[in-house]
Amino acid sequence: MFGDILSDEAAGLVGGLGMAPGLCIGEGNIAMAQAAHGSAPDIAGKGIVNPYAMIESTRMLLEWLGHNRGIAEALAAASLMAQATIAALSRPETRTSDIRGATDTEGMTSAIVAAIEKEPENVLA
Amino acid sequence: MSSHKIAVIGGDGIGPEVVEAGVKVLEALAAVEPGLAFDFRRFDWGSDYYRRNGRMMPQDGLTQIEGFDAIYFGSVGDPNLPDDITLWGLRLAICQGFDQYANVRPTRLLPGLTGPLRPELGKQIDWVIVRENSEGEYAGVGGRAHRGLPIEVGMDVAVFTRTGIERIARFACDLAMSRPRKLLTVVTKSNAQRHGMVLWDEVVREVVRDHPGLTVDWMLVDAMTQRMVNKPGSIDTVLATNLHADILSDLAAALGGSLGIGSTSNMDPSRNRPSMFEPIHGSAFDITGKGVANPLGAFWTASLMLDHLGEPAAARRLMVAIETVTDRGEYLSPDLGGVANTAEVTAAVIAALSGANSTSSSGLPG
Repeated sequence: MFGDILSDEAAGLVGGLGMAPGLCIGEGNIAMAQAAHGSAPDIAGKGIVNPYAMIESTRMLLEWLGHNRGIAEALAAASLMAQATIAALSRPETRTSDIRGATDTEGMTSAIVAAIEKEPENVLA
Repeated sequence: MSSHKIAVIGGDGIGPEVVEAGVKVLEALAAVEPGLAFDFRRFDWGSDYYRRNGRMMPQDGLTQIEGFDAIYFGSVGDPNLPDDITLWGLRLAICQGFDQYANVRPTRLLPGLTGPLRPELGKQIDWVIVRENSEGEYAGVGGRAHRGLPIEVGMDVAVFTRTGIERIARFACDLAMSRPRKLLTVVTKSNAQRHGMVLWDEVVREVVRDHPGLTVDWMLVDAMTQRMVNKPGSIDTVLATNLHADILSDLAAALGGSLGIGSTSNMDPSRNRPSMFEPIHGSAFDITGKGVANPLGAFWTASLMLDHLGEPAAARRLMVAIETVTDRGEYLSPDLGGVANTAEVTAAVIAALSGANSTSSSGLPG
């Protein structure tokens, strides 16, 4: 319960629930990437949700895979995703309006994908 | 004139220092407010009393103070005694013994002070948090088994009763209705705590129905912390359980820049027994005896107590004097970035009490 409350407050301090990724890990061999935000029915279907929390959760999952199963490519991919995500976050044109940006879900996601593809050596190839 | 009988319990650390400063301010207020009078009686209960007598207060302590109109409390806690002895032996013994089921904490960024939020957000803070103060997660029900063994277990049972929920909900609705915005935010966690909190939702919903003029919204406790940080102006009166409100009210105090000056009341709204008023700061042993403790929390506390005693004009006059001192910034204690000691802050507030009087009567610049 305390972690639940404090993690939401932490998200609030860094820009809101759209900025709160999460990874559920147990003893087993499976982890679950899950953004901390809920289903947000008030903005569902409008295409304006901040994709950062989900994308960053995915990156954390890759990192977990890399460490847990010794997959070097997963670690490299996670690092590439981190750079691309930071690049998108740094410019208002490529981030969503909840974090003082000017684009929508599609715009921010495309910007991150484009930043990944710009890398000379695609580690996933 | 009738005089208000006040039981003064300074307690530990800086408690007695700030409470005595508060008594001075209340006496100065009585000298300028027609018809206002106090009858103070001191009780030396607390950790030193415990070292002499083996208990935090006498066995018949509650009987000794039950005839008073209010309890003016400093703080409790001692670096050399376990917290559960000092807390349960005095403060909680009074709260629970007198069934002070409503804990009320106002939060406002006082003029001249800065909090951690951006200024345009910080100045939107004007909240009152109503905390259920008698049951819930702090009911003390539970136990431990298999001590010292690998299968050792510890359990706390959260207790939610229909009566307990209903009375605190009524109190919160009435309080929210008495404020201009008539806006109540009910905090819950019924999506994860599926028994007690669901009963909480059901009973609060019933009580809310009796208040058609009230705007009510519901928040999960975790999301509430975000709203307090990001949209402070969207909140007015807040109702939450013992544990949830404990956490939220500390966050509120920090956001309102008032950890050192915030104040709280432990109330028996039925008025069958005295209510207790205290600053939220602790006993602060690091500065005890140095005469530098910030007394503004004890003064704000005194203002809340005056309201409860049916002295709204005096309560307001004291609050205006406190805000005059924070706004001028000339006599602030070190925790607020100033260099004034307890006596100087106290003198400044006392001077502002009479200053407020002369301004309102003449309306001319001095």
